[in-house]
Amino acid sequence: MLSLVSIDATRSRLAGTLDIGAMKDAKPLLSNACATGVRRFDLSGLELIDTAGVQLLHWLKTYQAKDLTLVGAPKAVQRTFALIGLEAMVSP
Amino acid sequence: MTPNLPPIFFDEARDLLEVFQRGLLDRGARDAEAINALFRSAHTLKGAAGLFSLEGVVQFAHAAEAVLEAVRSGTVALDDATVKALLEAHDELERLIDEVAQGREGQGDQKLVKVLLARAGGATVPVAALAQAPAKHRYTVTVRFGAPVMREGFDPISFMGFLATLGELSDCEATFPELPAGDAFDPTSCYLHVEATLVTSVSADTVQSTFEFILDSTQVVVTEVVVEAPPPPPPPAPNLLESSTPRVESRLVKVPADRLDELIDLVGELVIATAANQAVASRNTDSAALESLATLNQLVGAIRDTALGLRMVPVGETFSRFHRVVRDLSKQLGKSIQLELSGADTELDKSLVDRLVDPLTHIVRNSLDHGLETEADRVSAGKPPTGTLRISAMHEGGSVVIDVSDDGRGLNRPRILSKAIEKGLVPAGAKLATEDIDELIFLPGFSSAEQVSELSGRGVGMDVVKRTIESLRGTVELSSEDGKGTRLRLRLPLTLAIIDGFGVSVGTGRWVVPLKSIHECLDFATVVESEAHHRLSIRGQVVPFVRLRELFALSGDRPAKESVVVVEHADKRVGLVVDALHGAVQTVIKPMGPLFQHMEGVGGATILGTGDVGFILDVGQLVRRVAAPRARAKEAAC
Repeated sequence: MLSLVSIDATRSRLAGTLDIGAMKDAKPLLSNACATGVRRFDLSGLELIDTAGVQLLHWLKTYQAKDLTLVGAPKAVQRTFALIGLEAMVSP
Repeated sequence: MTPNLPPIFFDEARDLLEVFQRGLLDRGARDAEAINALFRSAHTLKGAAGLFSLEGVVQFAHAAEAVLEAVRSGTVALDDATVKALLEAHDELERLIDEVAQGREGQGDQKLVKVLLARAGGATVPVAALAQAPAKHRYTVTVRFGAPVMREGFDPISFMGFLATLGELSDCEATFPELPAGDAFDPTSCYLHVEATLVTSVSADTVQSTFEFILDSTQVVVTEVVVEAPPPPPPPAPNLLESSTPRVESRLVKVPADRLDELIDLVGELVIATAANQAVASRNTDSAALESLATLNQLVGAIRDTALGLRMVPVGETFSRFHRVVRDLSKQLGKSIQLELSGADTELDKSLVDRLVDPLTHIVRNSLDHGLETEADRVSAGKPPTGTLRISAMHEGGSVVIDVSDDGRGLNRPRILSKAIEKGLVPAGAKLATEDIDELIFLPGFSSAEQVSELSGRGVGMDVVKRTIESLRGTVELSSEDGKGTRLRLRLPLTLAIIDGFGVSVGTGRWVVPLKSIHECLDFATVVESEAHHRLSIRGQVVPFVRLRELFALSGDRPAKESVVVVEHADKRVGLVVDALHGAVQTVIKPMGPLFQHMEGVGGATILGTGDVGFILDVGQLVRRVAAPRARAKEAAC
């Protein structure tokens, strides 16, 4: 289950699971956040991310908010990105 | 935490374990290719488990792989002790997989891991062993993951994770070249392409095999870019992984069983709807419609046979598990027993095969425990010291016949009779025909502490075996010869879904006789020999008959002209007298309601083209009921 908590107008915190099972809700939720001006997602509350999650974040950066930054990624999340060479997309 | 694994993982894992066990038990297969196949099973299982981070399974598969690697290189012999250790690894892997299926993930018996690794020559390096082997190859691996991969339960990044365990993975570059904007983007479709460099000691085929679960939709190209100098001697051992036989592309598609069931249900409805159309056309004597329906009927029949064929599997897969049962139990019992299998390629409906395992296992255990003697007893009886258990399968008419026979001591009939009297199942002093004594072992309550040992027992008697087989519309026949052995013959229908039937009527009721049981149809008046004794004379042969009207207590008067349908089961013929014959009908077997389930002589129900319900006759039961008492009376008279 994914949750998104607004920190301020441009920052939100993701928590829970960003995997294929969460995609139905995650796409409109995160897309809407970007549309309303959020430019930084804090991933420190993410317990699990899979390819679908990585792909969704990539899609957001490509089409919704090119200046979106992903910060606070736990080690396991960083490793998932690193396995396909996308480690630069996230920062700790 | 146990990941949410796709069902295909368990299917594949169990298939691999089955191949692994079969390979180990096949003493005749000890050549390079056979050892290679064993190695591949362990290796592929390790790879699949690695994708889902199932460390326990990976550890055991790796240990088994290490032993087989040592066998390949000639440092370890595939002798009885090695086979035993590998079989134990198989059992532990099976248990671990079962645990994962139940949502738990255990670690497995660490002592056994040590035993295996010690046998492999002290290879104590765990999972990453392959990664740490001297690198020989540099590959560029390009993967274009298919759109449905994630929806099918696979996580593409996990595949890359497993690839990293094979060696040094670097220069990964992920792209999403077809990633659409806006609503066209489906977040459950995979748009990921990855290119990476892998430096490893394994072959390109092994790298490719990492993706074998998703190759239907995913394109994988493995290109060797640099070949490093081969390591210095020792002289190269034959690489058993590189088979001289070209790799055959798999043409198999795995389909969940419930999808097949759904298809067969729909085909059943199609059969009924076609029959209904035909009934309407016949009623209206619409010849043009009847003609076009004839073509449709042929096509529906072909679709029906093809759909049913999809569920047919060889019984051999079930049989082969008995190699292990016989091997283990004969050791436990101190008996020398060989197992002979034949007809393993005989095909049967998958749903039947699955439900046959328990009864067959019970019969085999009984035979090993009670039927076959010890070496000493056999020698003193003038028999070869090694007993033989035979399991065979063959098609006979519309049925599959499975025989389980042994060359053991045979049934001890005096003891069976005395036990039945002692248990009050038979009155004291009763004189029974041989067949009736044999039938006693199928009575509920016959199993006793004496009959049920630790091995053949488990609280299941032969009554349960018989009930299970009969619930599958099958029959059990027993024959035994004192001192020479016992044979149990299971006769099962090919399918539980749709059969070719023959429609008959009695009064207003419609009945269906399975077409393959019918020998011939005759005018009753021309063949009746004795009404009083219910005997027909057909070309000089006496055949008993029964009127369905009397058998099922149906109302109404007999018509002036009756017909007789001569049916055959287990080499016995019986005439079924009916009011009228209606010809062949495709019959979709529907389960009977609880009220009718115990109706003797009726095996199921069907919906006819007219929309009426017809009862399907259980020919086996009818023949036994009509023919058997006469045979026994004859035997008793002799």
